[in-house]
Amino acid sequence: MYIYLLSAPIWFSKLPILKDYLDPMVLDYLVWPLVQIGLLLFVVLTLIAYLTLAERKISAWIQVRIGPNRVGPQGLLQPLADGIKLLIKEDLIPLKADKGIFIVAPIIAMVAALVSLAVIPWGAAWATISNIDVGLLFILAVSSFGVLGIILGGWASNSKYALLGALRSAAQMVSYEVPMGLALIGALMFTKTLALQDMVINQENLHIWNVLFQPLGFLIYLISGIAETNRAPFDLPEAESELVAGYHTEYSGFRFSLFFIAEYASMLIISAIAVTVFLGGWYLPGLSYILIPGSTLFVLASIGVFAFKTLVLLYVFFWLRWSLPRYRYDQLMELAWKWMIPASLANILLTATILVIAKEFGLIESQGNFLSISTAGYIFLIGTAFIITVPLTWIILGQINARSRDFNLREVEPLPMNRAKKNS
Amino acid sequence: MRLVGLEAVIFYLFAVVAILFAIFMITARSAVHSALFLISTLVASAGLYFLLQAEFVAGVQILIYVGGVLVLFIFVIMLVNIKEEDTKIFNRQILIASILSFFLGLGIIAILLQTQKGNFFTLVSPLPPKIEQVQNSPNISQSHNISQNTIKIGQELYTRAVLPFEIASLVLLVAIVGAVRLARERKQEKIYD
Repeated sequence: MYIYLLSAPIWFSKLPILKDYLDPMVLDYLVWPLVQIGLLLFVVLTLIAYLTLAERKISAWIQVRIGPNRVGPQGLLQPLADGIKLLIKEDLIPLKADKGIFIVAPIIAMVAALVSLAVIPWGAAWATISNIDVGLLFILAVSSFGVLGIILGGWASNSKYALLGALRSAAQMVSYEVPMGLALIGALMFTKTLALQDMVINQENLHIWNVLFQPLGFLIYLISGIAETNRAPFDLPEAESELVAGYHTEYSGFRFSLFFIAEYASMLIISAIAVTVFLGGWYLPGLSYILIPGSTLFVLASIGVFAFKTLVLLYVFFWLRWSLPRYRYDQLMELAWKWMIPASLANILLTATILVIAKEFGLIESQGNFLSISTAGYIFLIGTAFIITVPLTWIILGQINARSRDFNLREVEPLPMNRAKKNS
Repeated sequence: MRLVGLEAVIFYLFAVVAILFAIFMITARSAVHSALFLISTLVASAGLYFLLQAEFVAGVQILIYVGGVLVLFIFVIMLVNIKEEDTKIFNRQILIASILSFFLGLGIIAILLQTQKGNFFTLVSPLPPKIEQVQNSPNISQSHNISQNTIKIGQELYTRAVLPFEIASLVLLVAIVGAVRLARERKQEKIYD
């Protein structure tokens, strides 16, 4: 198998009790990963709980309110109270629901969200659980399971609101999965690997964040990611004013909170991948000059850098939610099929062309797994990305979609059929 | 290839799960249940691909079949709202089905006999378990390649298999254009023009 487990740090394998009773191999490849998994789950689930609080607080600040402030100091124990409330609540299963699927659906959604955590490079060296060769593909594959949980949950509830929400989210997530996958390909041309930890290392070797080479790809990925997690302004599957609560209308108590955790976990994963692929992961320019690479302090600092970048992106998620109104459904679909997918295809085409040109002029050289780029090459690649790729794609798509009505806010002639109605 | 140790356990686990859920899929009354069992079968076969060290194929299998095709299956099933088939369990396709499955079984047996080349039933002493694989795990500071078979698939697609690859994409393009043509009536086109 090509699954590489990463060995434990030296201080861990020297812990007195463990060293005496366990074989070093068992320690490295069994005990340490289990410790990592336990720690990761604890941290991530706590983080998710506090993300709900953060969302409420941020929304309050944006709307000039105070937000939750009753439970604990500054409302800091609110997630705990919410959790206990959800656990105590009655677990309702509708009489005509498909009981088996109704129970399995939230579990599918949550497992799909949490499994991807295993391959994300949370930091340098031992901070990653596993670095599989097809890491990015693995995450895309596993997160496509999440759709199933939502659809099945909506179908099994045997309620029309839930079914409509599920139908909407199925269409939306299938549509936005395409540009999301395509947007990553441009970045793959620079990192030349699918393993996520290696992507960060490649960016470290080039001393650059991929977002500078791939501004369009990053933008497309971010928008598709927001749509993929059913967040506002693309939260049509759970549009309160139309569908009560969408696919989880019939869910209560802990089953509902499983869906909730899945949604926040997938937000976390989307931002973590955006950070890894486009924003340099745990790499921060200059960090390796201050601290010795590979030392415990360096690893902890790299985890901090990664966490900070991820939290900034998560803040963007919340920020957008309270800034933009919800899209209309046809606008949502049009954004995917007429803007995002052509733009991501154009991004691939232009990036590949630019890379070939740069190679012909000798600005870039392939050295095994890495690219080596000269100073002129950096200027050329970043310049073309911002001056050619983004405006060209924008202009061409604008021309193609100029006659489309959906984003046209100007006063337009009513359609002939509407005109006929008005006259009669 | 003889399976030993953990590999054998995992293989039989996935194989049994795949066959079992395939049977469930055929016998399930509700169409949504059938689709769910089909997903389980596909995931189990993706696990088998992983065992064959074809991670790329495994990932793409899940990404395309589970994330794309079957989500659309379920989408359509929900859209047309097929009710459970209680009354007509057996229909008149038994004759055709039995003929087809007879030939399919014949084919499988022929391939098995051909690939195993006679030593299908002979016993071979099990190989010693491979320990060195674990010890050779790479140093973290050195970046390793994309898995070899990902490279191989890419190269094959654009060299040897370029014609079938292009034909397949052309067929898909035709299907897309056809779907758009069917979905939009001429009257609608006129209105938008």
